[in-house]
Amino acid sequence: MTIDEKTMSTYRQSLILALRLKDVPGDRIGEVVAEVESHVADTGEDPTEAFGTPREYAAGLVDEHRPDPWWQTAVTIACAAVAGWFVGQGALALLLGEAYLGRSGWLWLGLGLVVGIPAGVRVHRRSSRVLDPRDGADLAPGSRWGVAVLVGLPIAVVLVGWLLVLALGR
Amino acid sequence: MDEDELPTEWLRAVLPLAVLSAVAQEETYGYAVAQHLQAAGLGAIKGGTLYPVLNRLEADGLVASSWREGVGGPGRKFFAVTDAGRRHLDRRSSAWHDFTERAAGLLPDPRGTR
Repeated sequence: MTIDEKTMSTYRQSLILALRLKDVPGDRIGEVVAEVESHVADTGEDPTEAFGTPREYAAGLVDEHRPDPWWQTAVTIACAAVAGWFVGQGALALLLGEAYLGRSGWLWLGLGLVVGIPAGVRVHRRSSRVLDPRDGADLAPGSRWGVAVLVGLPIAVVLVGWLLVLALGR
Repeated sequence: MDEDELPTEWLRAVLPLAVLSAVAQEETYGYAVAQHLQAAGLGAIKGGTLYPVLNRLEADGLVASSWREGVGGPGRKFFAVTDAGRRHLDRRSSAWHDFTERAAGLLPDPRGTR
């Protein structure tokens, strides 16, 4: 008996999500998913029958991976928010040729990057790609629109703010 | 409880050593280890039980793993015992036999009165 691709694909995506929520690094997730797929291909068992539900299996693996404490996540989110605010205000100040809170836009922009880069590195580490150790394939390819939205949205917000200020200033 | 069914806590206690022993006999992969344990009378070991044990042994440096391409199928993760794993197996097996002999001495043996 072989498991149909739809069952395996559903299980794979749920397991990746469950492990992501446990803060398991991408390379380790790829390893776990490949083990499940390889075992199921050998036995012909249903993945839920052999490993339990994705959530149960992910919870059972927490012993081997200790997730970051909650306060680290809170600090990362706070730093990302503050950095976004500084970069946005700095960029807007530069576009308008004005100071923000009496300081140059460049200062706020630089401050935003200093605060934001460590947070960005942490987020990137958590969202590292899930690669299949057997053939290097990406097991959870992101949407092409995902990056566009992530980069484009803050720029769009700054530009809209700039245009609004220009329009209202006239 | 089924008479032939082993209590899960017994299985949990012996499984890491039994898995290490299977890997020490020859380089092997998960499903083959499960079959080996089942043939030895430990029952069907589910993947969800087996792989965390194999990964723990690997994290402890007792086994090493590598992915190999399968013939006409997906690759398999092969496990091989390390020198540290072999030493650990020798020590723990000896301790296990001492322990089970002492425990057996405390228990009645209904098999002899059948």
